[in-house]
Amino acid sequence: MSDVPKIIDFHSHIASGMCFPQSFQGGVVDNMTVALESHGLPVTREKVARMHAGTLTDPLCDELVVQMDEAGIAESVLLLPDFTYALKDSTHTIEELVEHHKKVVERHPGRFRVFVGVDPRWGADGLALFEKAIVDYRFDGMKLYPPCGYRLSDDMLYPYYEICAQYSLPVLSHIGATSPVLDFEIAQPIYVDKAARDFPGIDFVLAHGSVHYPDEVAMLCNNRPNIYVDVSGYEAFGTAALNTLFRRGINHKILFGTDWPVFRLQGRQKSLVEKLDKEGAFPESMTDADRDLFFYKNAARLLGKNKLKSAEAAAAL
Amino acid sequence: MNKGHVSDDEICRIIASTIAQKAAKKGVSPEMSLRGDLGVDSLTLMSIVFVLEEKTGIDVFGRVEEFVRAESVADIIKVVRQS
Repeated sequence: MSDVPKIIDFHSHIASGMCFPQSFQGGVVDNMTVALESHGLPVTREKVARMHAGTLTDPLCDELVVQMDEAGIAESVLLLPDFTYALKDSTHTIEELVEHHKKVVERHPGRFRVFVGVDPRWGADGLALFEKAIVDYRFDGMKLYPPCGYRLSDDMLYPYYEICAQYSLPVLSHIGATSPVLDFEIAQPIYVDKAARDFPGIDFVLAHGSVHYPDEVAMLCNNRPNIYVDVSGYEAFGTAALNTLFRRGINHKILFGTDWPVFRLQGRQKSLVEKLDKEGAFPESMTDADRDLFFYKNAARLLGKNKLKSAEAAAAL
Repeated sequence: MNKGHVSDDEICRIIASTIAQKAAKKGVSPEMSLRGDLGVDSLTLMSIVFVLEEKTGIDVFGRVEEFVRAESVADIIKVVRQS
């Protein structure tokens, strides 16, 4: 890869408590507390919670931009999952969160794209909000979070998929376990299959697919032309799984992602990028061309299909 | 242990007692990076902070953001000194 910063981080979030309800954070803290207590450490849940909250201190993404520059990350996709229907202790409405993401994009021109999530159970109002975010705010795709209580091929999602298909926008979904206040079983990758078959014009990205259900995710990527995987989560589970993934013949389907700020305690974005090489994520057989696909070309290809933005660019010529 | 009398060596020893044995065998010194040299992950960083609090009496929770940003052993020492 050349030294010109051009990595695209396909999986990040705004580091603010406003984006993650207290109950969601509490579940994460519970797991951390169990792990620390089991080592006989002098911890209390309240202290673990305060330490965890210390990672959610960048609501306008100013620090993230500094770290992106250090790491050679040109652009990051900010994912906005809608927890507000499933978790009633959200401090902000989904409308307010959409507005906040718009503000961040405008604050850092050219650095962020947004995949917006709206829980399909919000009905017509939710669909209207989604369309506004896509058409008026030029957000770049949809973010889904099945653990909130719906499957990826649920009929309720089809009106959203129609909009994504109309404008050639990708849909990225969380896969697998998450905060224990939500449902894990419903978040299995196979549930994307019917939707991917019904909407061949939409690219579906399965998040964390190198660590959650990796065999099933690789099978889907190999056999459905419009199913992709992002690797966020490699920070916690080691890079051996990534090395395996890169040898499955789907390097045209694998997207780099960090899941900022989830692994903020593991180090800066730069060290998370460098960790890949240091810890042997890339097999010797992997070509530079494949690395480029992984770090930015696959992402650029998916994001470049956006018909709203390409029409805008053509009109500007 | 009185926080006013915690030496750099003592802080290094506390960190060494918390990290993986393999990394600790080489010793811990201020110039070392937490992640690259010592293999510190999220839970290990939390463990270091909690043990430091217990053994030095520092006010960890007035300094959470500094600990989150800490990159090296020297950064941890600096936060302890400022606490």
